[in-house]
Amino acid sequence: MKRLLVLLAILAVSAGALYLAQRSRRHDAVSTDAVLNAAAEMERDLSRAPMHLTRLSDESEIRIGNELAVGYLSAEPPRSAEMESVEKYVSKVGDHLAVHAHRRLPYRFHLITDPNLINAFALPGGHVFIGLGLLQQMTSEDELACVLGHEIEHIDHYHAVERIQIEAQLKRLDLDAIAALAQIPIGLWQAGYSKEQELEADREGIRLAAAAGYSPQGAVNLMNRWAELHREYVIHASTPVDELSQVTIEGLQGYFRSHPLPEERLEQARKVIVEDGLDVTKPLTPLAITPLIHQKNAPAGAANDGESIQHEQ
Amino acid sequence: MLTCAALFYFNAQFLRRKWKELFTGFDEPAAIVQGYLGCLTAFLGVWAIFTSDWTAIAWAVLMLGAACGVRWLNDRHILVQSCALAVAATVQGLVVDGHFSIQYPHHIAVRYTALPVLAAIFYAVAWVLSGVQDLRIYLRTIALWVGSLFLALLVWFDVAPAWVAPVWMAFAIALSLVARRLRINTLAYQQHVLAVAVALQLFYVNLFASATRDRYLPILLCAGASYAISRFCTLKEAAYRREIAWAHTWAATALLTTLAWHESPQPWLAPIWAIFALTLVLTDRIFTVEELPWQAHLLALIAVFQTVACNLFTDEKWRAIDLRLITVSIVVAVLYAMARWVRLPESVRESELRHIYTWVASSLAAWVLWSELQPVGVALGIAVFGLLLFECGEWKQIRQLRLQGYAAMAAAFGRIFFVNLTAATLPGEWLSPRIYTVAPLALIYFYVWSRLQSKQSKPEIRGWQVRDLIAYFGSASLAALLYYETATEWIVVAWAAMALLLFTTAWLLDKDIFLEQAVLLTAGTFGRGLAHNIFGSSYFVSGGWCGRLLVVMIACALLLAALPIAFQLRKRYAERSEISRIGRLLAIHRSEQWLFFAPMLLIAVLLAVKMRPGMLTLSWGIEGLIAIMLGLVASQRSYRLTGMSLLLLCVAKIIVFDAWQLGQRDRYITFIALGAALTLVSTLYGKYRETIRRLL
Repeated sequence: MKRLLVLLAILAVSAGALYLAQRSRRHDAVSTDAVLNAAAEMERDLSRAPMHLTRLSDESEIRIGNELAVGYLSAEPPRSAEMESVEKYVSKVGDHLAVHAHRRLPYRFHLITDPNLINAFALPGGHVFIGLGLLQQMTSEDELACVLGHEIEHIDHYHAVERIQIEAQLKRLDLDAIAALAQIPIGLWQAGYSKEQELEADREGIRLAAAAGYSPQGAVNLMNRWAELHREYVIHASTPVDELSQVTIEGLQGYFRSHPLPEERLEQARKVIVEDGLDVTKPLTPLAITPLIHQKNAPAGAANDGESIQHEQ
Repeated sequence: MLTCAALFYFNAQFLRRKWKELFTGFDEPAAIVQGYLGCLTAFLGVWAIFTSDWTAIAWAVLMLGAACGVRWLNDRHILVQSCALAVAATVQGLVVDGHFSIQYPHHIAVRYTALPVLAAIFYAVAWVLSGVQDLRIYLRTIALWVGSLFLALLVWFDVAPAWVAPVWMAFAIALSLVARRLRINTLAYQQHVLAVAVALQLFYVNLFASATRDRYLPILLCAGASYAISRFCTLKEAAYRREIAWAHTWAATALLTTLAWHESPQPWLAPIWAIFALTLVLTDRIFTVEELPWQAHLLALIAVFQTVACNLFTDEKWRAIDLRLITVSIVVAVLYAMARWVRLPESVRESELRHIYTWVASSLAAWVLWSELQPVGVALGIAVFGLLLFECGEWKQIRQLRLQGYAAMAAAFGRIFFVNLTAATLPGEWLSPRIYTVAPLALIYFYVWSRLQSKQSKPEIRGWQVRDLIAYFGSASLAALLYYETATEWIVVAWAAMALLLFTTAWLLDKDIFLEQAVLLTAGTFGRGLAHNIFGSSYFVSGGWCGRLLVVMIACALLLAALPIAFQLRKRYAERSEISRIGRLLAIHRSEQWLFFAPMLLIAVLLAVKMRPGMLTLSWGIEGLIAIMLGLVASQRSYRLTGMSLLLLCVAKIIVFDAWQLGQRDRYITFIALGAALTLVSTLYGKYRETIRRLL
């Protein structure tokens, strides 16, 4: 009898939980994220002490970053005067933020004029790149500050330089040789970092933007938009077999992009705002370059480019 | 001509037999020829007298007369004549009396009377010749076949096409009964041929009839009749009785299966086939029909194929309910019922082959759960299903159901790592989906573990202790939930608290498995604390080191709080000789060592990393002193030696480093505090000398 009551209680609790799960219109993606996040976090934790002990000097980091940036920028097509203006604007916002970073590095901000690149990434030593596609997604300067702050914090918190340290160890690269640096693909930086590092960059990026006088609401707006895009992007498999193959393929592809979910990032942003008492009522600064990035000769933004969205998210 | 015929026969049969001595030499063949001439003139005379439809009947009557002659006179020549007349009557009957150009529907035709009369005459011929052997048996056989042929043709031409098959079936039943009654094999063969004709007629005509009634009723009637006569359609002693019975029931099953396929909408086909299979199984249980289980197996197989190919992918609704849910549930229920009731051959009855059905049913049910539930609810749904399977397996003592339950629970455990643990809390949700989907899962695992715990049986899977695995699932689910639900820095505290809980559980329940888990989690807490909280934290975290120290200290305090329990457990294990291999590997019998060294090492490293050099020696000194005190209180040599080692390290550090490098204030504080600590230690050693000597 007692056993039966326990069983009934468990069934009742489970039924309640199932009801809750069924009632809410959820869009949970089936993915290997949980496992990858844990693995990435473990890898990061285990490599942290060796990374700290074998840390590159700031000079070496800047030199490596410069060489990588030169390599990547040489592949960029010649740009129009409008795009030059856009880059100047981005640099102005970035410089405004960089003065509040912990490390004194020569931060430089570059525009990649590919409208399909809805992404931003940072190189060691202070180089920050932002894609035109991502700029086209923005509606305020505060959002731009949030993205640039996020990338600055990847450099500031040694995420970028630790990645190159790991890459050098894995591929046995001599970081003093220019030829060795040329072997490092741009995808390595575009892929993103571990969940913990991304959350840290988010957190610190918002604080950096706030310290530079920007409204944290910009970050909330942008992350809200990503969360909605992500919900649209989630495709549910039609059979368990499809799901299994989908998860396997995504798991193999996604090892280096174990990002937190947009909802999780949004939740953290709201938490930071509350904990730090940041002022969300501050008016948003309009994005001054909006007409330039949306003009006809700028290729149309591929808002539904799932691959790029996935990178940034 | 008829008179001539009579005279010829009179000569051939009467005179020849009466005065045999006169018919010698040439006369006898002449008399025989007269017999043939008699037949010919009678044939021609009848042809002349009886026109059109009556010719065949008249010839048939002549044949009957000839047959009587054969019977009474036993004359081979009359038999030949009879055969010739039979051929003529048959041909004439087919060509003229059949009126095959006139087909249903039509006004009443003369064949209504002509063909039955012909058939009757032919049957009469057969009757007249019954019991007679030698060559006459051929005529008898021909007569029977022709008689039946005329009747079958009559049905074919005069009955509505949709009802030809049922009437033929009725005729076939009649033939069977007569065959058994009169023991005439030929009629049984005719029944078989007619049954084939019925099947063909149903497949090619009735199945495509436009009226619903013309499709369903004839096929159902004929199939029913086919099942019914399958055991009575041959003579009792017929050697092929079993084969023909199988053919009849297989044909009937094929007919009904085809009818279902033809008539039912796609999503309902699988349930109908499955229910039909179950009906066959139940029929077999009542009447013991050996081939029905095989038909049921085949039907179930195609029902499963249909389900997998169609039902699992359908999005149709039936009164706002998902059709997939309804139809697959029916198939699943039927498969479970079949596993229970299907009769297997003796050779495999002892094996668990019938549980192929339950495995397929459970797989389909799991698939439906996957399809119907939100991704975040699938793991829990499958676990609940596994629990129900397990309970059924326990209740009915069916091992295979329990195994399916374990498989479902294992699948649910694996799935949480792909959806549940990364499910985000949506705006408006007061409870995280991670908690409300994973916590009940852990409850289920622990409940199943407790049920398995209560029975001491041999392992269900060779080499595997399922209950241990289930217990690990439960604890691992909770540990994973804590990992994903707690803020990253506080995971170490959550794990330490869980380790404390597991130690308590192990103590209260006296179960090795929880002690193993507690030790593993202690190791995990240590590893996590070291790698993440000490070396993995942010380089520029706001609030300085105090926050992290607090977190690690709480975790260490929780681990140390489990020490009294660990000492109790140690006493218990001292009296116990048997410990599992994993338990021995994890040294669960000395868990107090884990609980001491993990926090002590964490604190020592944390102090080394976070404290400023001036205060490090002092901090380590205090830690060493605490370790020695703990060693004395708990009478633990290893604790005391650790504390002593730490103090000696402090002394060495003072001599090598602090005395020369530290600032004045730090130096004074360090020297005074460490001196006091060493004095205290020395006093304690003096006081408890005897105890220490005994321990050493």
